[in-house]
Amino acid sequence: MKPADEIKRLIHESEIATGSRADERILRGARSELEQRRQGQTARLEPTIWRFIMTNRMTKLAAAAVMVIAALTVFHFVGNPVGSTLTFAQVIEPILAASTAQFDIIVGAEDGDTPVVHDLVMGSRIRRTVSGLGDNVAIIDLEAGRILTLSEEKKEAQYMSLEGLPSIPNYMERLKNLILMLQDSPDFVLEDLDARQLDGREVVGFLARHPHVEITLWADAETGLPVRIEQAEGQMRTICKNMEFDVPVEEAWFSMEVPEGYTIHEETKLDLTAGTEQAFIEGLRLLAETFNEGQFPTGVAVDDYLKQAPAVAQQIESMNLSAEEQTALGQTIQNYLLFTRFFPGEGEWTYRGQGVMLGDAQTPIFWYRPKDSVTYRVIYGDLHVEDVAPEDLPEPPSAEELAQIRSGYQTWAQDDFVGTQEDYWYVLPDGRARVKAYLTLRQGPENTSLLPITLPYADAPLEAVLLEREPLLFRETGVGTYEIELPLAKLRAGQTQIICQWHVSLDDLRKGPGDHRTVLRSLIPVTSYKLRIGVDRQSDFELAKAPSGIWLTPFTWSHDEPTLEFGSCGLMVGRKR
Amino acid sequence: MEDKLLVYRCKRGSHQALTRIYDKYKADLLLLALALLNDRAAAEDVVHDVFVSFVQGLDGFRLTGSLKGFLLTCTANHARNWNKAARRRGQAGSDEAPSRDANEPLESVACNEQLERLSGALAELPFEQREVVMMHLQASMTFSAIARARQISPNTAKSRYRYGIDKLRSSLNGEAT
Repeated sequence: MKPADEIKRLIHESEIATGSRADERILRGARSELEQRRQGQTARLEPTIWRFIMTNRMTKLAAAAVMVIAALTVFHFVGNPVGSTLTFAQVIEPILAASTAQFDIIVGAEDGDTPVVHDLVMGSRIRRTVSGLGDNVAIIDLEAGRILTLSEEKKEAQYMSLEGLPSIPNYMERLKNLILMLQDSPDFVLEDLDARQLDGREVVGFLARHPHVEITLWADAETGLPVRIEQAEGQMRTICKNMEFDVPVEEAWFSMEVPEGYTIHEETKLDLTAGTEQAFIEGLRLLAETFNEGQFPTGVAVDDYLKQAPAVAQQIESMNLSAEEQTALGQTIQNYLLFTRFFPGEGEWTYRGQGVMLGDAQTPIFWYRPKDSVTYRVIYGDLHVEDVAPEDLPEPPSAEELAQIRSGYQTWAQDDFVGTQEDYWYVLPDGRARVKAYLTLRQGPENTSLLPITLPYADAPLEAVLLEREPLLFRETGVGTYEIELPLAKLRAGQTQIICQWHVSLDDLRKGPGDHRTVLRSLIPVTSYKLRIGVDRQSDFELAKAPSGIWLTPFTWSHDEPTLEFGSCGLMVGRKR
Repeated sequence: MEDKLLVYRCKRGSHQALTRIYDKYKADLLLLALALLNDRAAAEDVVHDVFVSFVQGLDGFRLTGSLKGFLLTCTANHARNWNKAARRRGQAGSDEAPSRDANEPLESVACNEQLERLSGALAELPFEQREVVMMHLQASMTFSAIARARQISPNTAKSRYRYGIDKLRSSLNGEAT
């Protein structure tokens, strides 16, 4: 043994303990000094400029998350043609027909402080610049899941790979598909807005409401071209303006090749699936503990962070962090931001953390409902998490929302399937009505994957069956009767709404005075049934009275006892006079 | 990185961060102070002063190495000053009081048997040797770093260490026999 080893061992084995009073004595002077510092400290750092965000690694990473979030957010148009002179269909037509586009995006409020993202889009690629960032350019390749950032001034380039990116082979196609796919959604309500002046021109507006998204679209009253879209999805507000379609572009502008003479930095990655609840909690802890004097931030949406980012960047500068340490902090913020955008949850999240101190175990600061869960996850001020029943939330959902939350599919000992059904009849220009029955299954026999259904009209055959937009197999078992193959795993996972489609000729229906009547029969026994009807403006038919949106509701019924037949009713539709 | 964040939060006036730093390193600092001074009350005072000067110097403070190393060096410096002052008091017969309130009940630090043995053996060394032994073995400082901190040559640091270790060994072995 070396001479020092024994001494080292002795030092290692030495133990010293202090009581709370000794601790208090030792720290008393330092605490007093610290208090004087606090009182003498200047007011909180004011945000500087957005450019500052991109000057250090930590905030650059967070900014990258914001860029990607914006890329996946814009454009969720839906609806059906309505209106008097200019229809929604006409307004979205340029979008549907476009192969290229350019527009400005603002995530958050349009208050002059929020950076403006300028996008030039061609196919699956976006060339993105951000106001205040000078010559910094990001080329986003959604198909390859990669971003190339270029600084023309510094001649520097860096790739970032996007992991967990939803499949987006073509940005413009995705946009078009979204419009087409959602156009028939029964949950949408579309309203005309009063004409107004916008940037010196007259515009007409449309407001599309959906449980998960609200979109306001403004179009030039003369040309019909869309000029501005305001979108509210969850707590995220996005404005898209200065829109132009089919703009001339050069392929070179979207090249993912690094130009000659550029220094290429090590590739980084952005994992969109890393936005877990735990990552969100760590972000909350970091922001409260380190950047916000122990208080939780004003908000947790992307635009809230954007407002705080310059101050955070400035504070980071004074922390003397190494590049690795900045990267680690940046990743924490990145994942925190990704959570509220991509969390696997149902509906909106709620944040009530403003002004709450970190460590407050009694105050709920954030809650959300994970996918297919009846209970909510509630995060408290000390960052512990509890599963809470909806009615026990600080702000409980309405009775209607509660019923919806608890309406998952369950098996039972009986042989029948039971559900709820809403039929949407849409009268087409050829005089037929396209009927889509939205059947939500509530209960069914155990281990039975065949769902027997009966259509109301034997001569109007079943054409398609969808579950969450995926087609299901079905076969005819008799006159007007069918069997649908149910994916039980999906049902148990909460995907309980099946859409069945068929067509009915209005001329074949029994006619009442100035009306057409239909039998009312659900596909399976149901506890609620509704029939709604809308009319294509190009058809020869019109509704008996003007609806507030697209649809009139001639019939509605609900009862605890499942029922299959409800008599008949007038469709409130007749030929145009 | 935690230490850098803690220092940053201290700069912003966070008592929680200060307490966290103290809890994290108090045992090491008190052990060093006690080993150097062989006086529990003095060790408390030294660590008290280390934290006061740490907070006072936060404005210009930039953490480049480890926070533990920085605080241990501060503790060694303060212990050295305390030792000098004690010697002056002894020579001049001064009754200069320690910073602690004399009437305050002393719920002092508690040491285990190994620490008692160590501080007892170290007490037999001249302060300069004690200092180099502990700075090297506990604070993991190189002889060059110790030499710079004490404004002595590296060889002097090494020889103080060697003499110190030899004496400690014989002292501890003698105690064992």
